[in-house]
Amino acid sequence: MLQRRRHGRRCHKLAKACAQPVLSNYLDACASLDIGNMENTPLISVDLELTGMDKGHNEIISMGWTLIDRGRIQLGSNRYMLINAERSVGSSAVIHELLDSEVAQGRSLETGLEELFDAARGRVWVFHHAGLDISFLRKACESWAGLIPGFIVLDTMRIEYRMRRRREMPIRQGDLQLGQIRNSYGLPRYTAHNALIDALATAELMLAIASRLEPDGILELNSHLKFF
Amino acid sequence: MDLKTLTFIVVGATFALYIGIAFWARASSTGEFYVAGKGIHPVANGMATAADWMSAASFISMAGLIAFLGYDASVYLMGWTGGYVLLALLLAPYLRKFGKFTVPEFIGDRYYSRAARLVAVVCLITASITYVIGQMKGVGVAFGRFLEVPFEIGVMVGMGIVFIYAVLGGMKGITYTQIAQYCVLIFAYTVPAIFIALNLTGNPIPQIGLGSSMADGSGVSLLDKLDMIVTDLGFAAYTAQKGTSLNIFLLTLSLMIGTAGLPHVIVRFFTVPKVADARVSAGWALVFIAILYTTAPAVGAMARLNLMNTIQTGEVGAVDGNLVYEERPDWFRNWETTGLLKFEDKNGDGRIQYYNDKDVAFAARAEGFGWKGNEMVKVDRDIMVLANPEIAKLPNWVIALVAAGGLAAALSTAAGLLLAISSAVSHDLLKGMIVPNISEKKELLASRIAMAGAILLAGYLGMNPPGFAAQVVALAFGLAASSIFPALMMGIFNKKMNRDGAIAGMLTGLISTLVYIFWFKGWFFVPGTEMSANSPDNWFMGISPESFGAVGALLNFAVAIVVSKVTAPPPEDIQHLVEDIRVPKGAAAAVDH
Amino acid sequence: MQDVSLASEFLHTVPPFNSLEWDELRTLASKLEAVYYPRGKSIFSSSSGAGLAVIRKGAVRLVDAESRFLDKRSEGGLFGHGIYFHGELKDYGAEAEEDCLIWHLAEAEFAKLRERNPLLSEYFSSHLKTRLSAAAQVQHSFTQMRDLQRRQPVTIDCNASIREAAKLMSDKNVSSVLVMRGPDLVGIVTDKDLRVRVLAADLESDTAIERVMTKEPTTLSADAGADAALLLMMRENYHHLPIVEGGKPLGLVTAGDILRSQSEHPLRLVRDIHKKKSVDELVVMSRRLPSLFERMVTLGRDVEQIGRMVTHITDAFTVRLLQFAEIEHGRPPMPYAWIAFGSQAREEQTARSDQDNGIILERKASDEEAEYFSKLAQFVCTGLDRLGYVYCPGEVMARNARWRVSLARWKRHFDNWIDEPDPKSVMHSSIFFDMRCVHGEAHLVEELLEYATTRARENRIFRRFMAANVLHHRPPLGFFRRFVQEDDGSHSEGLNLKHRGIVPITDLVRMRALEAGITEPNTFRRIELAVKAGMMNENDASSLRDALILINRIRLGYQAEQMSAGQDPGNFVPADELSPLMRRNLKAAFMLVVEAQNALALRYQVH
Repeated sequence: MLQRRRHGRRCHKLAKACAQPVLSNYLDACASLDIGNMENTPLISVDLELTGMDKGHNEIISMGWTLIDRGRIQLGSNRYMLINAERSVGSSAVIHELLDSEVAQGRSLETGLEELFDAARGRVWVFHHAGLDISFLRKACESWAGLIPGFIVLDTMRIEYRMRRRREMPIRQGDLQLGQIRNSYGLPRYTAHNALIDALATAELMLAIASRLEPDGILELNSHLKFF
Repeated sequence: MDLKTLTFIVVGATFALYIGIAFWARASSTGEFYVAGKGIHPVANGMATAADWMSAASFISMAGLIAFLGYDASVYLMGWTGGYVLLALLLAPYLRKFGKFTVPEFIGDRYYSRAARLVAVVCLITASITYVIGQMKGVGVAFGRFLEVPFEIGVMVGMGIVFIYAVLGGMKGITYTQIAQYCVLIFAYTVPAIFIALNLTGNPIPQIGLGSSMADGSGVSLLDKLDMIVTDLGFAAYTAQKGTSLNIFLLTLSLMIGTAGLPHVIVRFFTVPKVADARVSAGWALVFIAILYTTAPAVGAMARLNLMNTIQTGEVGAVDGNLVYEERPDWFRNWETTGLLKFEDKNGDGRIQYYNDKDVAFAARAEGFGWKGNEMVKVDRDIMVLANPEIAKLPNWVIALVAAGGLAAALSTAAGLLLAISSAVSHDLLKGMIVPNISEKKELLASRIAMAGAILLAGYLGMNPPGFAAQVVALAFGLAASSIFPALMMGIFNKKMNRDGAIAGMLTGLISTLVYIFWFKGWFFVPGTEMSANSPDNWFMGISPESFGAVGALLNFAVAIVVSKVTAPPPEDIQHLVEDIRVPKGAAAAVDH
Repeated sequence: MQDVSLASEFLHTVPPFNSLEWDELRTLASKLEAVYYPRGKSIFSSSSGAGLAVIRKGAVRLVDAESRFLDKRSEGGLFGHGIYFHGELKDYGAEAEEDCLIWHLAEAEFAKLRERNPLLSEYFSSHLKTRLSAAAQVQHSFTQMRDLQRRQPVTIDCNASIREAAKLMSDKNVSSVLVMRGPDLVGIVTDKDLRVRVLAADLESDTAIERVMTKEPTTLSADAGADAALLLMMRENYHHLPIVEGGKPLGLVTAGDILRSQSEHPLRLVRDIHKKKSVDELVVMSRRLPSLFERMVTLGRDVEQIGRMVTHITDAFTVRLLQFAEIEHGRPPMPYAWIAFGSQAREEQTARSDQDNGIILERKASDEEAEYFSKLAQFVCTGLDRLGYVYCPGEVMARNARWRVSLARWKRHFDNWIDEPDPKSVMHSSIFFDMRCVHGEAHLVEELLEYATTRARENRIFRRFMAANVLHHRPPLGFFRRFVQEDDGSHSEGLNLKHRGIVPITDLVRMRALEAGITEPNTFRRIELAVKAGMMNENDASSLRDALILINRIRLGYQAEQMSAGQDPGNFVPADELSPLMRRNLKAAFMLVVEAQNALALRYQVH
């Protein structure tokens, strides 16, 4: 709770300092975000495709997200966009099946972020393994708006990890990959690797985890949040 | 066990047998695709055909007719037997080669005319319904007696059962059911006859018993004795001929050719795949039919004798020569409840006088005995076969068996005819002519309605004055004989016969017969519109309206031939077809392999 | 991949949405909400106002107010809308039988969707019969001709000269040109036409092209499916066909274009068969058939086309074997026709088929000639057996001398059956009236069929025997319309869908075909022709067609399942392996067959 209040104050301060109106609005909302349960808290599930793991050298090449309202994934809100990368895609193309030429057809990182933060206003972020994606987003924001915004996050990997630990379930290598966890919840297998599909897959997993933790699915979120 | 219970058991058991056979046949019919089912043996098929052929008219009415009309009734025997032979020899083989199994279909195609087909359909439906009337009457008599209810209620029960039987359909047409029905029927017919023949003459074979002398030691032959008894009471001698020879001949002929073409029997000839087998089974059928037909005169004569002996217990004219009404046997009481047997004590002596009060000479003598007219005001002929075993005091199980036999005869024939009628209405008339694009569902519905309609009509006519029914019989057989038979024969044997000739001939035969019947029986049977009284003196050359069908047929032949000579001949392909029909086809095909 | 395409792609595999246009699918997808329900959780307790739900993953139980089981739905299944249970529309609840991912469409959106799409509306407002019909009709929207990469058509006006046409063709490097009058397509001219009708006929090159073109060429409608187009091209041996929409040509397609649009099309096999050089190679190839069949079924191709495609492959094998035989034993000494009977003739083969075939010779063979055909038949029949088309248990095969005779003798076979229809003859006729030329002189087959059909049409007594035989195969319904299961010969019980479902229908339709004098063997086309001939009422026709499709779909689906489980495909389907909905549909289909059989019984007075 203390963490939550401190995070709020920081966001509030940043909002005032921010020159980018979209980001400023986002931060404002973030500062006063009313967080309750799955049913009354809007979420946004996001995934980024990157050229690599190193935020110093690698870049975001696509973003995908979907919104969760009242505990229901709004399939109509699905969004996917390619981002113009400054450097070549290189070897990761094998994974993403994105060629340089296609990446070049995308939009600039700035407009992409603008749309993303607009969508994320008033919402709690959902990631699978939030750390990596957040670090890239923070870096991108820094060069876009000159500041590092705050994030209130539900990390499906972390929640699942803590739950398994609490239940003393063995955790082996690879068990916490998105596909593996989904499998254990009986969720459909997605073959493709794509930012939107992964965002959607993460959203579905969030719903599944919520109903596992709380049989009626209306999970109180506060104890599962992570603040960046 | 009392008779009623026993009858229920026996009738129930036979029905269970038919249904059981039907189920067994259904269940075992789906085999592996490449294993073809076995054919039916000609003897078995002959039995099945005989069951189809023998109706309530054969089982119940014929012996009754013979019992009361004496020798004259043998025209029915001869007519119906002849009709069968005609069907088997002249008609079935050629229709088969033509590939048609109903008469209207043959006539429509042979004379390339829908009008001709329509006439044929209407004639056959009328004839068939008439035939069903006879079955309904028989069923009504049987049910009335054994349920101990009035005849009318018996008919209504029968109507219900016939409808269910015909709609379920499954029990009909399965050869083994038919065979079972034949067995029940022939057993029920001959067993009582054997007992009675043994009683009366000491000879167990009824056909021989009929010509033997009485077993009472008098040495008088059975027929002489019967003649004696009936003439004593003013009835015509049993063995006498009562009509002119020409009229009897023509009546026989009308019945014969009017019967040929009844749809339910024709179909039987086409269920045997091989022509040769069909011929053999037709022969066997004749044998099986003959067993019943030759027994009928014996049953008739003996029943009459027993009836007369029961009532006239002693000397004619003696005070104690007649049965006391209060001492009448049970069967007498039971038949009284059906309303088919009625007694009226006209002279109030408490005894039954049964004699011919129409005979002027005897009526005068009877007056002398103090008799005030015939007191048996109603003796329905159709009760004779059913009452026979009771009159002869045979065991109860024999009596129950006869009931089952009568029902088997009536049901098998009625169901066959009703299916033919419903198919003719729904398929030939409705789909063939009126609504060609009718859906199968509606066709099925129409067939059910037609069937119910036919049963209602036949039941109604069966309940109402038999005189009326008899007139319809005359009309139907007369029409079939005068219109259809000549068209069939010429279609098969005269390749030059054309559409115009056939239609002109059919119309001539139809109209002349209709007019002759209406002339004596009233236009459309409305009483009082007769042009002259229906008595032998007024008849043309002594020919009764019932016998005129044969004359109509002759007129039909004559007109058809004349008209066909002056109009265009039939198309080439039809002529070739007719030629082909009469040339044995298998001959050429059998050589090469 | 963009936005909602993930959802719309899935919907595209789900009936009835698979018949929707992509635009509509995308609109629909954008209105969906995904919800996760763990096992046992109630999804809703009353279907009123529940909108529509699509099962993306998992399985759902539908229950009544007292929680009694009504039906089960699984992945791709729909619920939430009005459903008839036992012919009665009732309110119901839904609960997750497994962990489920459900896509919800709100009631208001569902109403709008139905309003926009009358076809969907009909699907959802189903009554027994309409549902049967809808169930029989969905599942066939595959690639349409409109969606294909087309070649630009090269066109020329009908008044142009032959020379101009030839020049245009060589300039554009095409082998055919479409002839137009104004905006309308009136003909086509190919290289071959120029050779045969111009050069060989010594025609002046300034003659109008109109005179040598093929008038009213065969075309493909823009909404024709890929399967139908391919089958037409293969049957008629066309290399390419114009695609037409409203009389105007959109372009040309070749069989290759269509095949390329389908990742692995079954009919590719047909081409490959003709490239093989030995029986052994064919045998290797034939091993692909089971998996191919399984895929055709699971992809939900319609059963009529599955039958055609499987038969096409059989035909191709047969023709190839005949070619090998002619190479091995030399040229045939006289013209002949190789004929297929039964399901191959009807183009209704499925997973496992026996071979039924024969040979018509042009005339009576000498001993030497008879010897040749005996060897030929032996070669082909043995070959087919090796390819998995096992010998016919009734020996209806060309290797049986009885079915390898002259046209005249064949006619006498039919004469004998028709004149003296004993049970064996009737059984034979039901096989032999379904006859089709696979290879050789088609006119021999046509003449025989014409003869036999005419004789059967004229002889109602013979048809009556056939009718009685037809009624031997009754649908498996007992008292109170309960299913009657039979022992399948090994251990378990099931509904004999072939003998008591498919066979009765093909038999009934064959009767209609004989009544109308139709020589076509395929059941669906027979129905069509019988309606055209006024021999069948449209409603009766569509009932039988729907029943056939439905029963066959269940049967094929079950066979595919058995094959994927590594078992031999059979025709016995245990009733308890069918969903309640399927059982009801199946029952409805059987009832239609019973009705048609009753009508047949009435028509021929057999019972």
